[in-house]
Amino acid sequence: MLAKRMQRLGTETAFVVLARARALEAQGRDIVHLEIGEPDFDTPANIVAKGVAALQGGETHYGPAAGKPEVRKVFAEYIARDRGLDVGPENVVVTPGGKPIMYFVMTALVDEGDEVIYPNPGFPIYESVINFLGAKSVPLQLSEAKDFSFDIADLERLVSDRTKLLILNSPQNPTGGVLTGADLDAIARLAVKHDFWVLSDEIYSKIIYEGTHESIATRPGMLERTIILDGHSKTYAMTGWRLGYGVMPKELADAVAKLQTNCNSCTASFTQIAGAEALTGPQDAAAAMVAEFRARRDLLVAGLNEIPGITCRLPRGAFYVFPNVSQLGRKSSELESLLLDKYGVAALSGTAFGKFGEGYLRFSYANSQPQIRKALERVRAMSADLLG
Amino acid sequence: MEMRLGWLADVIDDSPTLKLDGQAKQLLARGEPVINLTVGEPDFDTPLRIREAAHRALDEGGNGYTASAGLPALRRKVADYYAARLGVSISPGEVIVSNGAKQILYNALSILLNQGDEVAVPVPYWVTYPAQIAALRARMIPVVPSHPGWKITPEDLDRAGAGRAKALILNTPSNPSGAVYTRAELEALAEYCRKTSFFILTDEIYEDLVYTGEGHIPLMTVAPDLRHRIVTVTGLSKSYAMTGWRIGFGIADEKAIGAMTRLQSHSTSNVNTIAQKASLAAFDCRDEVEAMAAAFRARRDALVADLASIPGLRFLVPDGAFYLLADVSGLVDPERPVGGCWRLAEHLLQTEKLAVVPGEPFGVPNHLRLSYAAGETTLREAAARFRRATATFGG
Ligand SMILES: Cc1ncc(COP(=O)(O)O)c(C=O)c1O
Ligand SMILES: Cc1ncc(COP(=O)(O)O)c(C=O)c1O
Repeated sequence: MLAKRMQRLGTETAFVVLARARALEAQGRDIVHLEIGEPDFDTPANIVAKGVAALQGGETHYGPAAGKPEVRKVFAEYIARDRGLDVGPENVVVTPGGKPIMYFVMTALVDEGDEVIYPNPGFPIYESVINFLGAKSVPLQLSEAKDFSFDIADLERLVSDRTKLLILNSPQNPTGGVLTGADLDAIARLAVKHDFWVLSDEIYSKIIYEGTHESIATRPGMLERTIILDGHSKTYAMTGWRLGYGVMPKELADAVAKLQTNCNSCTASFTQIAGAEALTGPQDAAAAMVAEFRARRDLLVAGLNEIPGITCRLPRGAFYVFPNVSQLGRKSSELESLLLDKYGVAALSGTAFGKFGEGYLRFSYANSQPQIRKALERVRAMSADLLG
Repeated sequence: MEMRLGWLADVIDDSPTLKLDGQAKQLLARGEPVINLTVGEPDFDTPLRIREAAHRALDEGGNGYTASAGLPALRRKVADYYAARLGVSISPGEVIVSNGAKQILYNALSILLNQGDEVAVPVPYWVTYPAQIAALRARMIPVVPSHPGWKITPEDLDRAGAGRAKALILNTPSNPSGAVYTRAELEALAEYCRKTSFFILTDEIYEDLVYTGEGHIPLMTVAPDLRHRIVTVTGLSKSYAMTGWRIGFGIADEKAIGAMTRLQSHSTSNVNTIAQKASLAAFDCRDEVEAMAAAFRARRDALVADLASIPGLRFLVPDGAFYLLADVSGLVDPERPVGGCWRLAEHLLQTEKLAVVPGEPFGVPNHLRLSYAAGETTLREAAARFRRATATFGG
């Protein structure tokens, strides 16, 4: 009875593991949660206060599909300032979360039979939406040896005359990898040469520990072919508020706004107002979160590297580590189950992010340092049992 | 660089209601005294208790992702509330919370329709139905009512060939006509549906704004035997003046809800957690809902009284929602029937600063839709402007 395209839809395993972990907790088990990509902090107080004021001030009505004009303006000014780009409100579409930008942009750009190159391991929704739309998903392998990046030749080999779009994600989920300036130069040249679009998922742009974030849109010829995806979920601990946005050429922005008009109308008004405050108000709460993330990263990476059978690179951004666990002699998915069922740590198999995630686990460090220490003890116990 | 947009962006047209609203708002921004009767949203504030619940949720924090289908507590509350209204037992697994009723419709059509499938849609229809159907590369079978009253019968469905459709959309009370189906009418339609296998999307978003003695009749109450094929589409936007919160509910078979949830987990994830928590308080606000419905009824009566005597204007008194659909063919030059409603709408906006929506996008050329989600004084003034404008309209 269901439409055929439904068979091509995957899942986001994080929520499946979360549900299993909760079920175990309901049986009285103690579980350390390192599976979900959601900051454990509260939304900064100035943003919350603005949300409250907006509701009291009657921000309860429909707004334009592309977003409230004053909010689009704030977001455009922020991206112009932060990334050094010549963009205006007409380039911005505000959506309920960063995810809708992926869905709408790909729906607007990709025809059946087109090819989309996406990072693998990578955020699972990319591949799933590409397949759902009847396009061909072409995985670009990120390898540990290259610090979870790729050689430009690897990418060039994947490009064909049907390549419509390349998805980039830096800082990256699940590896924490960050593309270098030289990478961006080379990718940009390729995109211009072969005339494809780039969806640049920059949702972790502020969660970066070494250097600063750069957008590929700054490279010559790229502004007109780049969609920047950004949002408030991660930087301002606003996952449940559902606020994201895309910055793109006006013609595409108009098409994406049209899609939103017909799919869900607009983004909750009070959330938009609060989101503008997030970008214009004080940034110290956001900075404090990044400092805490960094301390946790250092703790987790050092701890993992002391465990026999596990090696872990130091990620430069986001709040995930992607340790190599292949020496433990089990498939990643088995380790995921074992770790949860027997040792009480919820983490994700690297394969939740694509086939090239085999041999890895993903730990999110959006949890406190004591919880991370507890997790490390449990992972050590698993390693000891497996390696005898 | 050449823009190579995919097929979908070409297919989907701007929702014309929102577009006209934008034009009127531009005039307003310039300080022009526009009366805007275009947009479909209550002008009331969201009931205080709901806003207070949101305030509490914001103060308490912990507003992270919820399950894609919605907060378990809200799904349970919706299940219980609608079990009573629809007269069938409903489990939380048969409920999804989406970004407005619009996303419920989008989800439902997306999981059902293959390219080339057909969907039967009564005329006049809400503009989003054909847009969503076209976006999925499916086809609309318009079902034209053969009797006055803007309501279709089994014979109309039969004549249109609705039997071969994959889905039927019903909408009671209707946007744009304000028509409300009676129990007897729905029973007759249900009898027809029993002979088919299509899904029935019943859009009941205006369920609390009905001004007849019989009141709103949910399709489910007359056809519980068809429940595995019925998707009830509703939400808080209209009844609770919550359009900007984006809360819609879908009630359907667990398998359909599961598929809709999977799609939504890719397109948007869960709905705003704060809005979901606030929605828990909504069903306690029935007094406020009734007060708003009473106000809409009084406004309708005022508008109807003032428009009734305008020469050339014909309309049926709407029984629900907050729209009046007027036949303006008596005002349009018979030599130039095409585009008459657009010319009149433009004339109204330019000469009298009165914004209304042309009927053509709803499938009824030579009609105008007037929303009466405005105060009675405003509506009286609007009617006066309308009367003046018809006198100067060249057809
Ligand atoms: C790489 C990446 N992009 C986008 C998102 C979506 O975020 P949002 O919750 O704002 O839709 C996530 C969330 O996990 C992510 O990891
Ligand atoms: C018939 C009909 N269905 C559904 C909706 C959508 O409402 P929501 O704002 O909940 O998406 C509307 C709003 O205009 C409508 O008129």
